[in-house]
Amino acid sequence: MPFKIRLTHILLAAVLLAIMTACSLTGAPATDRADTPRLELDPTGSYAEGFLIIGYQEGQDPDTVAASIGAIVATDWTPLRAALLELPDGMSVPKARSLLASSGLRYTEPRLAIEQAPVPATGLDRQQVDDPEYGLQWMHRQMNTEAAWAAGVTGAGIRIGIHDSFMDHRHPDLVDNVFYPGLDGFSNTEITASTPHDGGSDHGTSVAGTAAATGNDIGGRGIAPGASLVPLSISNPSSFALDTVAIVRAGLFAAHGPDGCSALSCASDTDNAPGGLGYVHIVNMSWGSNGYSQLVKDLMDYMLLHDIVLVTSAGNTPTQSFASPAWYPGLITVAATTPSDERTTFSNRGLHLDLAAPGEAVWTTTTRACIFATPDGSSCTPDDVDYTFINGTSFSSPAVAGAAALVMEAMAERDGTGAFVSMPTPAQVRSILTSTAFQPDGGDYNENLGHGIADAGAAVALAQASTIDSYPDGAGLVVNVVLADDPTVGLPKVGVSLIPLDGGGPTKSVQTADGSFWSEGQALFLAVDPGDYVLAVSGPHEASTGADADAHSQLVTLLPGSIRGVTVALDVVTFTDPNEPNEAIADARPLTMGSTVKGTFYTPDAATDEDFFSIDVTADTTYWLNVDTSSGNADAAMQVLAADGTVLASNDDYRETPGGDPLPDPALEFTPTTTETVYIRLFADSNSRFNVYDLDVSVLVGAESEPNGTGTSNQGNITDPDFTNADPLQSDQAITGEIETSGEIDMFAVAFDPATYVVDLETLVNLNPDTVLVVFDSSGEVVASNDDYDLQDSRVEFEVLTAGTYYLAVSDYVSSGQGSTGPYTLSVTTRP
Amino acid sequence: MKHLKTRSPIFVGVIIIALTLLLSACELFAPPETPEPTPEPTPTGTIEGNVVNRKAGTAVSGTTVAIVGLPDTQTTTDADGNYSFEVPVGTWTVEFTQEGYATSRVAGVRVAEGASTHQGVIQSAAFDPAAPAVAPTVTLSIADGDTMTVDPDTNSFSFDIEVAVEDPELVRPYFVTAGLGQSRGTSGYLNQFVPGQTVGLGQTSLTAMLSADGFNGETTLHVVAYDTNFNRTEVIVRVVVESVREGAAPVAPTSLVGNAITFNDVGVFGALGVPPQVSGRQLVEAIGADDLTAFAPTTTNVPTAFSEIQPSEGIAAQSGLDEVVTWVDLYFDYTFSTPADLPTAFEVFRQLGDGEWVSLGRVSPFLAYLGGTTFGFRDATPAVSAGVEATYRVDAVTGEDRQSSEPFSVTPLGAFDVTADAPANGEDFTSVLPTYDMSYTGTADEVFIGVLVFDRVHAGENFLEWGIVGLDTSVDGVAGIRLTAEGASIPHNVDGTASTAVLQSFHAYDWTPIAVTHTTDFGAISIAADFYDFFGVGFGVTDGPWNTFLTGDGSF
Repeated sequence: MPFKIRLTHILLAAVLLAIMTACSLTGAPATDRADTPRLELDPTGSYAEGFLIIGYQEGQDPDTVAASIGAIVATDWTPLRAALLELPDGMSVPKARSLLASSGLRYTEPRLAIEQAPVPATGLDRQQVDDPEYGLQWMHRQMNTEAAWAAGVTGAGIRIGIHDSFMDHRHPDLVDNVFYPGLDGFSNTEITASTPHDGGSDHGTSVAGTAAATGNDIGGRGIAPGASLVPLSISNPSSFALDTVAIVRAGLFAAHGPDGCSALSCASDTDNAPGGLGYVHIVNMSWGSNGYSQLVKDLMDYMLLHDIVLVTSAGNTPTQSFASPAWYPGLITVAATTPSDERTTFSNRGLHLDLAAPGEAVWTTTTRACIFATPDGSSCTPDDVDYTFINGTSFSSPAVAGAAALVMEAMAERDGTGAFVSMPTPAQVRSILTSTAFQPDGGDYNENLGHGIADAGAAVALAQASTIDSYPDGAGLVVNVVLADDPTVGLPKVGVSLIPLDGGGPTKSVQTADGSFWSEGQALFLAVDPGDYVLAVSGPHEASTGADADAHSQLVTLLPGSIRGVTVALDVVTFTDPNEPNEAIADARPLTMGSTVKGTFYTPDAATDEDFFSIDVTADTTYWLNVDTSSGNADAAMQVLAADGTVLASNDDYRETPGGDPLPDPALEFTPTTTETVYIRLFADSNSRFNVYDLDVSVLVGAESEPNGTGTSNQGNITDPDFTNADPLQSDQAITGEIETSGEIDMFAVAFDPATYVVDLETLVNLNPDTVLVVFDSSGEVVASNDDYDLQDSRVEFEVLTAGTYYLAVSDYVSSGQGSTGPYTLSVTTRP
Repeated sequence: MKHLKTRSPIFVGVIIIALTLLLSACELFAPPETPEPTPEPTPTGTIEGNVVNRKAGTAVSGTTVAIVGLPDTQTTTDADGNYSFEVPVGTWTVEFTQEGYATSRVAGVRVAEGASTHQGVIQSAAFDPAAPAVAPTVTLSIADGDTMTVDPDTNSFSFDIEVAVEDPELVRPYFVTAGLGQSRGTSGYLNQFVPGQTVGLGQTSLTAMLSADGFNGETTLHVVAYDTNFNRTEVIVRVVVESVREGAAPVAPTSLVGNAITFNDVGVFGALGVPPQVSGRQLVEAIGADDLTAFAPTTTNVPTAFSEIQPSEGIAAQSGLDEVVTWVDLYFDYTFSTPADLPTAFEVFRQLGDGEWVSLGRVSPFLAYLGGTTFGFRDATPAVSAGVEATYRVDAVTGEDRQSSEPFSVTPLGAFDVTADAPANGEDFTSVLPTYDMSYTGTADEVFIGVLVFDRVHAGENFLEWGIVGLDTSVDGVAGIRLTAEGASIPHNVDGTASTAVLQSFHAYDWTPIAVTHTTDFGAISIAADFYDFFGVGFGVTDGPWNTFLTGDGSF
């Protein structure tokens, strides 16, 4: 049911408690059990080897998930219900993601080495300067900052988090404005005045100086020369790349501060930014990547709920394509300009832009050369005041963050002593900046400059003429997407879009995070403009969930200063088991030998479901029965029963996994002593329409006969297949084999008629072997292939259009010469 | 670096032309004449050339071209950026000025009696119209006629450069480059085969150290300095450079082929949003194998096609907004067993239309080497332009001996421009089976068209919803496709390979067109949009259209 609550801080906290039903926002940020000072990056330099971030479900134990692949939990971020896993030696990140693909996690993400804004392509190296260089800072002319300063506003009292590489916090033109402590998110240690620099890149120093270099006789000055700078280091000093772990730590620190509390999470908070809810008033994020990240989206929402103004760079690839976090709702996204009032050649463009600001040949502070020589600064003198020209939307963003600081100072409500009591919200700050921006073409909005170039003077004038209570506030929307049949079930991976009806701003799209800390099935739009919208919801994503999507749309009106909750029930068409009811031997469904049948562990009328099938077996013949769950979280088990109910064979988990298999499926070999009809009973501990499984039944014909084929196995592919000596197999048979040495290829030849076939590999030993399966036609073309279907096992389903001989190639996953060995069972069945 | 689809060389030239070339080449390397300007300018020659706004960039018309110290001797560039005027014999400084533009100067331009001196130049728009348009002052520690002292251990030589700007409170020295035989910019890609280096960024006093490899005798040395307003000074001095490495007796280079490449509105800057480091070929294979994980921006672990082609020292080409860059990539074979079989240098000559043959410069075989027995050269000089046939020849040179390749000709294409019409950017409530409409202008013989569709909020899992690449006009009319010389309409999932056959309703997607045009023989290529470089020139055109759209309720 919709609810509307006036957005006062106390009531907001109450709303949050309602929203964050599963959130445990207690005390300090999660402590780390292990940390790694230096990271090895993958060959593309895009993420750290040896780590994986997982988003887990409520009730799911990250330690169990980690153990299933031999990993350990390095960090558990309880508020985000996400954890950092340290992978076992030799396990690649794609491999780990693949292994965990069906483990019920909300998401897995690599520990990204996120690209920061460019090293200036044609910028200048740091250089020594001795004189005021204000004349080189064309940004002040373009942004009309002098008018703001003339109004007596410099950003004094406003804390700007420099969520960036480690800034040179003792640079003579920054040191007087630095507010301690900051956080080095990479080492997870506080930054104080005496903390040595981490020896990383220049980037954060140039960002900091653009926002708030001090107004003095050194160099130039920032847009808000009176504001405070809080170092929030998020980079890996050895690679210069940003690190998602550090990004999260520093983002939580921006909200909590050193006491681990915020006004929202603790009864008493000791270190709030004056008048604010978080530790800082503004966070500048001059970084991004081009893929949607639920972890980053969650973090943005967490900071926005603390009324932290989030300013970010649009990106430096001049397309309109997606960028994270720039496209997320509630942020201020900034493109780069030249002195000719044009977008720079490199700046991203598109409908996500809010503002533009100087981003080429920006004259700003840079990390002093003496710091790279002596990170503790011991060799630095007061004459070391390095400045640089630098390019990138990375510097447009802090120019606007500085302007935001001016607006906040100008508009803050103060008590009798002049102390801040209340601050404008992120939406108010954005609105004041966009409504006063300078649009060179005189129009309203365009995809090059957004609402225009930020005009600090005009923005401050409007802020001074406004009050927090009277200036229109932003709005929020929390969408709860649930299953129509069972509103207690939140739906994951549902696309949720908010389409403004008045043409103001672009459509913003997010997805629901099943089990995120807000609540299952929720999608948040915070600090958006009030107004009339179409809320459009569809999902869940078919390819990810196997369900047929449903869609819904409705009008929503978002009123200023309120967060509205909307529950959307989707009539999701999940798989309907055609063999129901089959809860007893009497109702058993007959199966054809050599077939695969699909079913669900779901019955709407009982606590659990069980399914019975019958097969005709011949004495002294061995059969292979295999169950693979394809979605849901059922722990399936299987029994083979005689007609009188005697248990002839049974299995719960075919492969025993240390720490518990996140998705334990049964399989068994069965050799009847009499020719008869037997009954297969499948049952599970869970009753859900998402509990879809396949049952394969086939005749086990024995073991492979080496040698049986050659080829090359690498990174999940098999190339150069040689079909000579392939073991013959029929399309209703199973066979056992063994990868005796890593990289070995076992080849099997099967005659297929036009039909849909399932080829399955099951392994008995944890991670040994980690199979790869490739189906070739007789000309050597790949028909189907799979590395991991269910953890380490491979499985393919494909349609044969042309009758002929096909070849099934089995090997282990080989990467950089490393692989695995062990026995397996291969089966071929027909999907009726 | 890899060969594009190449054409067989067309033997436009004949041996006589090649022999004639040798003469003109020798002239360029003739001993210095008296360098002082003649106070009484009776004998004259001609300076001609063209002005473009950046390396491989577009023409600048209306620029005043003047000789410093001769106030009455000036001319103006025409609509194609060309200029030509008669100038007294001597060595002159030529200045290029225009309102709204930075000022460029070239010092050391030599004019011989009755001869024509070609001088192309870059003149950029002023970065900051409020800043001074005065070219920086460049002072070198070397002068015309000097013999460079080559260190036998490094086969290199050094000299000092001083740069001064008129008003350091408003502009500062920017970057300084030094090139041998050619002027050099800062783009690592376009300067890949230009001997020399970027000397420094931001300093006023610099020391350059250049490799002598490939040079044995007099050559021109070009020092280029920019200030932060893009004012540019190029100083040309003639020096004697003797490489320590002695080349083998030359044989004729063979199989000279190439591609003229035109990028429309390209911007390649790197960092944020840089395309996944996956080559177009890998992506095609990924689509074919239905392995869409290759599109996940952070989950792939693939070799970097980029690193093969992008020099570590710099970025790739970048144009201004709505501008075009054009260059010619040349490839040729030179048979050798060991490096000792290589000549001292390769020297590349070019003829535009029926014009004079000119030397574009010489390059050490080690700088030109691409692998196997293949070598390369990139002509990104200002004169390369659409519709003007360029004929090339490569000489292998050791000492006075040289052997010439057969000539190769190519005519660069003009801009190819694509518009992503439907679904439009920001369009809401589209069909769940949309037809992707694009229109384009500037089509050559054939097109190479594709569509990529991305799921906006499922990156990392099903990032690529659908992709089809490499369509040409032969598929016009097939399965509802319209694909002509003017545009294309491609129904969603026309080949049945989409992740989901019908797009989800009320769901956000992005689509981007791939649009390349080329001559039938693939000799000339013009790229409108190809973010992932499916066509395979080495890096993508990254600022093509990229439309986000939201599907409707699924009823259509």
